[in-house]
Amino acid sequence: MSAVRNIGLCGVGGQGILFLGQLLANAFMRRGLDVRVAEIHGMAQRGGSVLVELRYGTRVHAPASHGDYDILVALEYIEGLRQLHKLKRDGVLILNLDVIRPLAALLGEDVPALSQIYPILKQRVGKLAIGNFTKTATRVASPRATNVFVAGVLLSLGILPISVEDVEGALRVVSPPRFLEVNLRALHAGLAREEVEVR
Amino acid sequence: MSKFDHILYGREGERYLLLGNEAIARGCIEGGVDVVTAYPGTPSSEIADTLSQLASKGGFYMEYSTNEKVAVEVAGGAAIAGARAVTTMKHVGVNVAADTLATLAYVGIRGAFVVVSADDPNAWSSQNEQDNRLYAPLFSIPCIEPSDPQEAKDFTLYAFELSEKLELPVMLRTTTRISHTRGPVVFGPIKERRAKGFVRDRARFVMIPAHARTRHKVLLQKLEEAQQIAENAPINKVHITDSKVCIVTSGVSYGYVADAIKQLGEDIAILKLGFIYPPPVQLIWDFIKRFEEVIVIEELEPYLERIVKQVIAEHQDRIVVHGKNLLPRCGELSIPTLLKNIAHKLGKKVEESKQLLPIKVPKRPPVLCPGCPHRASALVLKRVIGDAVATTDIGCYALQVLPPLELGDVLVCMGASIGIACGIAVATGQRVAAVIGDSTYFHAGLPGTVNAVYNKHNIMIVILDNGTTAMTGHQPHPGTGIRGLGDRGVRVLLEDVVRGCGVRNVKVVDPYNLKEAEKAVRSLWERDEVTCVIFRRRCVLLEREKPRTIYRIDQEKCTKCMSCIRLLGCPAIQLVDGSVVIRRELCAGCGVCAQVCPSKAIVKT
Ligand code: SF4
Ligand code: SF4
Repeated sequence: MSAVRNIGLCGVGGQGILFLGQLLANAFMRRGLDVRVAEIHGMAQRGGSVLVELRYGTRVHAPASHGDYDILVALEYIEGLRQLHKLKRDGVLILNLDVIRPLAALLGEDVPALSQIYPILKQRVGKLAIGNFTKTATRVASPRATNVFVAGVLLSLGILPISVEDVEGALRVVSPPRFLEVNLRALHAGLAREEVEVR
Repeated sequence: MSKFDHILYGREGERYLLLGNEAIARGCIEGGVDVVTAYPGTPSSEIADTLSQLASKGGFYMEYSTNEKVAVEVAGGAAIAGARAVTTMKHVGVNVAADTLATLAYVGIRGAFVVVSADDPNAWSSQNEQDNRLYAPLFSIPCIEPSDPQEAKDFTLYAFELSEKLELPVMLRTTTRISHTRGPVVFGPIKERRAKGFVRDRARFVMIPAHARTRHKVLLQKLEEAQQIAENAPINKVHITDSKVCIVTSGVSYGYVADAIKQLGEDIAILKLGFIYPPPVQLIWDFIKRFEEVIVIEELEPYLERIVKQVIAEHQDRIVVHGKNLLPRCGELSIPTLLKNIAHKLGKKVEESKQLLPIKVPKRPPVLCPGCPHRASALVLKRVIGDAVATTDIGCYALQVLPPLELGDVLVCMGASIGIACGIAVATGQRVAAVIGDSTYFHAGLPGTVNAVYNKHNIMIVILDNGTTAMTGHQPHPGTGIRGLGDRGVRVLLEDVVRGCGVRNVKVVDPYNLKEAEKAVRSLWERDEVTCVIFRRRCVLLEREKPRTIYRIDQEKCTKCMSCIRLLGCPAIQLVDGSVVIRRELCAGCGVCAQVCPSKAIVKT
């Protein structure tokens, strides 16, 4: 593989997006691939829109791709829509339907409904995995494990050059030991695509 | 076991996924560091945080100093006495430390001293995007710049060696995308410690004018030596091809250049500088002289561009140099920016990207966390001061400026809230509130306070004491009494300090108790001398693991008046299918919303 592949990971500050980036990056490294994870820290991280860019390939130089995603993973619905235009044509979109409304939306601004954007998705997105991942993760593990559940969903699509063992191994490295159990449960529920629709 | 142990115990040849900042921490360890000092600041914080976790186990000293100037003094002093020392800070921190650094270059050091300046192009988490490469010539200290996590480690080691050889402080300059990007890093061996001890040498270490004049000459000689080292430094990389156009770059920009060129399918000659001050002018000339055009690619200021132009001016005028005429002088670079602006110079055309138009969705600026004490204190302050001017400062509480709280009218830099409040009070004849965080107060609030008392300024100082340096990642400070080594120091009480500065009326209140707090703040606001209120309540993120009572909304009683949302904007309060609800997993149980609901609909679960 010579081309560098770009993954956008987005959501709301506090959802564990940095963790998700580290999890996947560690898994890629286990396969001997080069990786870069561009993170956002400090002020920009507090409860606002968070976007982490992960790049992998045989050799990666630039820290961030600034869009051009082969895969976009959204841990929250509005954030997914916000970053959607950065997904390549026929790219893969993993979209959590759980909505966390920012103040502007609570005070009346519109959030486009799925039915409204569905035509765009159908036309632009190669593969789409949707569901209320937060709900499912809460049921099978914990709301905090939504990020790992989503990693499972992503892996289940068979588009990444990494195996379940790679991700499990990476999880043992990045997960605090007391959450490992819960995270593994979330990972496997994601792999089994519990309550996830793929089209 | 800490999650950073591998950075200390990882062996030569092993490979780990590290944040650029963690790689710098490993570089310090491999370099045999003795003393680490810092004032936290994004994007530099994780270097010191990592070393703080490892200091006791690694047998080196670490402290969070009250500000960057003090940090440089402590580390520089240790280096004068033969230690290998490092100080880490964000770009604007160098402004604070500048006075000390400028003269420390004259006296030099005996061990090694590396100053890490983490710059923030795009101002991701800063008040400006100044380019600290320009400080290197001002201070006359060498400056080197890594371009990825591996180099972040390797160049740190190189910086220590260079500093030790030249007996000069060396600046290691990173940017956000170097500091906060993760990548694989292969470890090297760890150096033996140096022997330490202070050797008296007044002509060198006491900068009275006569000594300073001599030392300035010495400094210039050392710079010449540094220049020779730069010419052959292994951290500069030359890639020659038979292209007509060549590229000169350094640091993070190299990453964008390398991948953008790959995308264009071209093989262009590139000079990537690791040693950027003093610049290796001979190396630059030998490289560029065979080309017709040079494109200099760098973020922010045309620093390298000016050097290249100067080199060319000294030799001839055949070669055309491009730089900031093609590229932006603000913000960060990116591959799309490069492709759009330089492809034509390389005889290439980039296809217009067929990207979608962005979908219009509500903005989501950063917000104070659920249960954040700053939300409650802003509410209390607004109730008391109404429309009066309030200055604010650097910290999470700067988010009080956003709706719905909208508290804070001026914000400049660490500690400036107090001095600026005094100025506004003088000019307007009105009482002004100066809002400042606990760590920021220790950093730079004291001189402003003394000045306000001494000159009888009409201000109320508002210290938001959440018991930590929250925004940068919860580092301790003098008010916490915890040291960088993780053990106990002496706790310095804010109220004692403020009283010691001469403020007679000081009150400590709990922001979660809106009524009581309001009463106390009102009594302090209604005076015309310097008074001080300290809102004391620990940052909610530090209380996360503690058991808490969360709140819910009684749907029978809720009239959907939206007061809770409109007054507080707590992210845990959401609208679900037309009902106002509290999301259990987000609620921190502060109980402030229950105090603002006019219908008493918010109750404990
Ligand atoms: S008690 Fe109310 S204001 Fe406090 S965190 Fe919970 S929902 Fe937010
Ligand atoms: S303030 Fe009370 S009554 Fe008004 S919307 Fe909030 S919970 Fe309902």
